Amino acid sequence: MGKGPLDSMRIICVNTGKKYNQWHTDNLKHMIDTYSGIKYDEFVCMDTDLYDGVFNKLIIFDQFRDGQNIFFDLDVVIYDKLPDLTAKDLTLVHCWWRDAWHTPLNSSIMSWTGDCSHIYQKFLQQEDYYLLKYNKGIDEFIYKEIEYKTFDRVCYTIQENEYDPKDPKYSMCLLNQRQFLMEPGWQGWWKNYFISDMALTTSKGD
Amino acid sequence: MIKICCVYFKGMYSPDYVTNLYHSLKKHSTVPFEFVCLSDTDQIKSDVILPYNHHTYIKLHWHKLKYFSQLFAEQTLGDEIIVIDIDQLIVSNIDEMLTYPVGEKELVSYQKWWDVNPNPPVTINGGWYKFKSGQVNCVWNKFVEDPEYWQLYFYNQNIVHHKYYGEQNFVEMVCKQNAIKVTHMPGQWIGKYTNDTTINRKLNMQYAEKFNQDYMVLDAPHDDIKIIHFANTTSTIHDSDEQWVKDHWIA
Repeated sequence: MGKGPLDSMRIICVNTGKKYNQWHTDNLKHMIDTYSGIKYDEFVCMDTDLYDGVFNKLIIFDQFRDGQNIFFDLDVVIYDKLPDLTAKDLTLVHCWWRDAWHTPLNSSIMSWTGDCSHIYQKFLQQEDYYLLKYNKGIDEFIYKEIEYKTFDRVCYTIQENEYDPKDPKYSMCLLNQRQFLMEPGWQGWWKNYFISDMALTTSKGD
Repeated sequence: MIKICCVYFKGMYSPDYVTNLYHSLKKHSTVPFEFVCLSDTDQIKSDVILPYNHHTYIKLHWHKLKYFSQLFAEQTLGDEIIVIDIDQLIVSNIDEMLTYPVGEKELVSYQKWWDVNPNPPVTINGGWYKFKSGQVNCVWNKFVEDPEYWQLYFYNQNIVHHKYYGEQNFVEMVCKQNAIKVTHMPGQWIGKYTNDTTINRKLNMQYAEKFNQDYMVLDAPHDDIKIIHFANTTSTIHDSDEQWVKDHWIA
């Protein structure tokens, strides 16, 4: 018997703007295929660029309305088998490593099943207002405007841990605005899990 | 190992600035070192070229601060890291500067002797930072918490008067906050020059008075001078008509 519409597994990432390139998408797929243990039916990179920033991430709720969906940011390091990240209701990362500040949420991983397009529809109702009010990003928008759940501690952050070995208690580390650590010239344990050196390759002079 | 590190991006300077600096350092030193350049072109001479990323929130010369992280440029703990600006002319043997002693929790730079402010907001010059790898990570760690904020902080505070200036202010501020000892190399080793003869005359007088010498540059730099900094939005080496500059500006 084939998979029903709620059984299929889709991995999603978003690559818009100039901060990331094809290498980042390929690298995420490489880490998922090699280390995560996730079996998926479809790997999708969403590149619709309407908002010149992180609010593009909300478009995925409109575009992917069936099956099981797991979204990953491109600046993550997956280095071991991930815990079960599937979820019926929208589920995000709780920033257990820091104070709540403007939001205790981190949308580097998001999971949901079926139709969550109401999230994007809510945003569209007052698009300009929300872009202004939540100019720090969508994490605060979701925290204050959307019903959500949070994962258990499924990952940690590189912030304040970049000089330490990888934490074996987890299988995934968020680079959290430190995506420069993926670039050539930087060294750290995370490089061992990347597909190759980034397209901006290190070269020797003559 | 000594690593001499710099940053190049297309704009005010041509790639020749890096290539000439590389050759000039080799010519005027006997100390082994590795030359590293974070650059947006490979049309330069450098032992190692690391790619400069234009698509990031880190702007212009602020990329220099990456070298303060032990994780960057294949540093090994204890390496002696020298971060230099490319708008400098080496005019005599520079071994004493390359090997200037630096300890743990210490930053070596050179003094801005040309600053007429008796209480300057910053005493070091971004043209030269020396430290041991791993000892001054705090500079990068602080910066990367909020690069967009710090890159404009000193401009927004009206301490510097050009956008994105203030990198040396930031470095000295973080050093003070983290009990990093700041050491200045002898000022008479350093020259400051521009493309303006009136300003150069004043700089000559300042140098002579401060270091009890006859002059800073008179047809040629004073024998005490090892390096001359052309740092200024209007000062370039390649435009100079002076023969001594052309003689030292080697390709």
